[in-house]
Amino acid sequence: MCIFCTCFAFAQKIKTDSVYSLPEVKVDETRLNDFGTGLSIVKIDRKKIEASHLLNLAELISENSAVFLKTYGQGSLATISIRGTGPAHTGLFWNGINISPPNLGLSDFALIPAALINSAEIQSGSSAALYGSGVIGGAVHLNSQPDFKKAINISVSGLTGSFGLYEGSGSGVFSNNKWYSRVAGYYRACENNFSYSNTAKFGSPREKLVSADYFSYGATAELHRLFKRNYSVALHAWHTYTHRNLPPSMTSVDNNEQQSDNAFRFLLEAKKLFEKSTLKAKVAWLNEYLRYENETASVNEKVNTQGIISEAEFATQVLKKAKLNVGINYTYYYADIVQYSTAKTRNQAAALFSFLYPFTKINWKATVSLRQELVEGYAVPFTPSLGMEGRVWKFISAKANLSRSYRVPTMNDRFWVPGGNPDLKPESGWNAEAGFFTSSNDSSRLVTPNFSATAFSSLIDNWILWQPLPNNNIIWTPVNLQKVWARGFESNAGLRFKQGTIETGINAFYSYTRSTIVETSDALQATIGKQLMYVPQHNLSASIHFKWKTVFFSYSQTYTGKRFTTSDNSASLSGFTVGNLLLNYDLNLNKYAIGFGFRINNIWNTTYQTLAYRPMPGRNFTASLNFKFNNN
Amino acid sequence: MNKKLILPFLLIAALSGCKPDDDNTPEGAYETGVFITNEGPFGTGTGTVSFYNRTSGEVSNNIFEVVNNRPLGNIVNSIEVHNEKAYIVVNNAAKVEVVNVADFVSTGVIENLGTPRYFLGVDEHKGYITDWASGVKVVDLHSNTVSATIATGGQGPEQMKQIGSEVFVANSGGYDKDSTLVVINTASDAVSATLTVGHNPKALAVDADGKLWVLCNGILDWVTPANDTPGKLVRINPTTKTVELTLTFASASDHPAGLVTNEAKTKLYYTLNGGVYEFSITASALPSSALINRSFYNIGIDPVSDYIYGTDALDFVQNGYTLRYTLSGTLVDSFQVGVIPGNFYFN
Repeated sequence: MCIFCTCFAFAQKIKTDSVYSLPEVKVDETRLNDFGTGLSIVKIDRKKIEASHLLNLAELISENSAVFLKTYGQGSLATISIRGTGPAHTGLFWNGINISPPNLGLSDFALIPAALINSAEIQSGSSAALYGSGVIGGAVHLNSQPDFKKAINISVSGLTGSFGLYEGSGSGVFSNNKWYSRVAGYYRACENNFSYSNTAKFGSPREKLVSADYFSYGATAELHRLFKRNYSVALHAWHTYTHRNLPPSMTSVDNNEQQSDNAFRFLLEAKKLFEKSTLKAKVAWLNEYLRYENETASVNEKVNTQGIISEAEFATQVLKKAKLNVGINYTYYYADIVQYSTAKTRNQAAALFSFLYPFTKINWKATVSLRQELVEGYAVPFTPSLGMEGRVWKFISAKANLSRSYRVPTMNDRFWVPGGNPDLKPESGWNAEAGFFTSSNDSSRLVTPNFSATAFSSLIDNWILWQPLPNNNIIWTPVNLQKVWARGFESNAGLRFKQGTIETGINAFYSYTRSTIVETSDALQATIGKQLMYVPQHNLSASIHFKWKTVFFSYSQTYTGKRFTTSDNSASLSGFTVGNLLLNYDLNLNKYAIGFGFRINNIWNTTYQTLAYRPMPGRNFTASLNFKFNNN
Repeated sequence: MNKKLILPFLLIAALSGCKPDDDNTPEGAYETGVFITNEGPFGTGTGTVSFYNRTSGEVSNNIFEVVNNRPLGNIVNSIEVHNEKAYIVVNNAAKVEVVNVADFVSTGVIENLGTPRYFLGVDEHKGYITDWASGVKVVDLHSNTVSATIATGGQGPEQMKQIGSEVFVANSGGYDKDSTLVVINTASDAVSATLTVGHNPKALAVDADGKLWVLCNGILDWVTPANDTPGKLVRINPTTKTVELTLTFASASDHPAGLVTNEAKTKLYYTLNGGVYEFSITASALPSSALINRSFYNIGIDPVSDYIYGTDALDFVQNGYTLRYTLSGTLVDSFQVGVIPGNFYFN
């Protein structure tokens, strides 16, 4: 139940044991786990999510990796930047389906509640050959994990925290050898009226944040059925609704802005297992409805997007040991946005191919993946990737991945009036990464060391940015403006001691990221060689945990380096460190369990901003009570 | 926590310790020179004021924060000097900051505004502030408080010009559209007349003959371009309050901006479609070719040097430039200012 387990998992492939064994067909296989050879993945499972008492995916990622999230404040818009790329360069996937809305091509990670997530995998680096457009910096995968055994698990939680935070959530799993069903729901409300020192005003007076309250609710359900002759069918449903008042920045006044986000997602999957192969088909319907109001500027906007995503895949064992996967994808997007003048659609299709070959004698494996996507109106580059990993010495393994990546312009880029640009080219990149990791996962040992280091380099060309039209400072248009070189390294080191009922460990992440502009327009030469805005060069996080029976204590401290707030690097935000403390106690009573959780966030009461002039809360608390029933 | 773990934190914190990147120190003399307002990054961020010293050629950026130790606020729209005080209009912070023009030390702030745009000093006791949210705010300059609000009966009151005991206010359309110019009697603080000009009048200038010129932007309908109307240049007799001349731009996509005059006030300058145009006040037709072929975010003319100042905001997220040209359109020099340089005051 320790959240630090994620730290240890950082370097390791999810299925470490399968690295050196023959590939086999599993019920919960994913393309990423089977063919993402040489990629770096951090997994956060349901236990860790529950034990951390965090509220949304943005907070989960921040606490469990060295990934930077640019957030407008607690519960507010949070966008991700992996390996020095922009927020549209990380895909968000739900059971393999890309759920980033087509109008923006990026996701607000604050809108994904922790209460509904079963597991999250953070994959750094490009996996475009596996997953397509927009997976340049990385991807975040939310997956369900059906387990066909007789069980009833019910969990009910209540959480309260500083600044009027309340959350109630519950989940239930009902399963046997033929059925697996899981339902989860939550409701959360937060006043979010924390006081902060307004450094933008004379004397830095204490002020209370206004108009930052929000409420949110949602539910998810999934139903899986195994039939005779190895057929299986699954249905997934997701609904979340979030209403947020948007607070002013420290330098502006309240404009009575509010936003509501309404998401519906459905997915139907069917699978047939043969002796040495699997046939899968899935179709998803996605709908996002956003409403934004700004009283001062008399703006009342509605954005309605829909997507129908269908996919078929066939994986089979070939040449005795090797594994082949071929698939096709067809996607239809629809966006009804007033600025498009009329509702617009986009059709796209893709063919994908992966081939994994294990060199069993030397404990290595290699995967080649190829993808060709066809998108209405764009020439998408052919996208190959090559990944390798294997043992080099005792428990030390090496990995490497080389891949092409791309990002198709968003529907806003193409259709927005004024400025939408139909002549844009897709962004196109090359990514290389290589590193070492320890692959020993023997939990019976007294001391378990853990280490990983990955160096990466990505070149992204035709990077799209909105710029004012050359002869007009009012109308903006997206252009293939710049070429960006993002490079750096990520490392992770830890030690875990375990004896009897006592476990303790320390762990640290560090990432160094240089992401600079190498080519741009003549007018913007001052930005050449400059770090991209809001990409910290240094990210460091260190943690210590202690566990005795069912008592768990942890302390973590993160350092986020300086971030530039202008493209010529003439202004910046200072780096900051934040410490968090977590205490959990579980009382186990046969089939029942009661859990108590307590968190102190920002324990040293640091004044900091992740985005210029957006205040963040000082020291704050959450307390939670959880009731569980397990009948396995 | 383990000391060895803390050490790298301290090291990195020390290495990257940083502050707003400004080397400029106040020289205590902003008495004469050119003030340039920089709107600052949209959304989040602060605007700044830059000062250009004509004698030394030195530029001091971010002078308000350097002197007063706090940022100005989001979107600095304009600056006006009146009675030895500078009034800095901070649009999205709904306020006007007041400083001593000589040393830029803050002496007050006018708050409780909506969406303020421009300040005009009417006399030593009173000022007007155009406010898209409510009309024209009447400000008591001794207490820096709003004493009254004059409804302009239109949308988006923008630039003002005082002629004698009257102030002309352009209803620019704001978030909507408009085509009126209102006249305020400064003795009664009441609207005494409303004139109809072209669509969306934004900029005003007074010429050597005492005539008022109104530059109308025209309608720019982003969603339905068929609704676009061309800009207009309108001459008004401020005494009779009548429109004497209306010149309509050639195309519905012509939306001119930024009307200024030379020192002699015999010529008008404006920007249009990526160029700066010169118009003689005696001409009867609009010029067909540009004086300077370059796009500027805004222009101004320094009456001391008679140089045209143009601002370039580049990508709008880095420090912009001010470029100086002679009246014949020859580039003199340029200097770096703040993010999104937008307005001038020549003191």
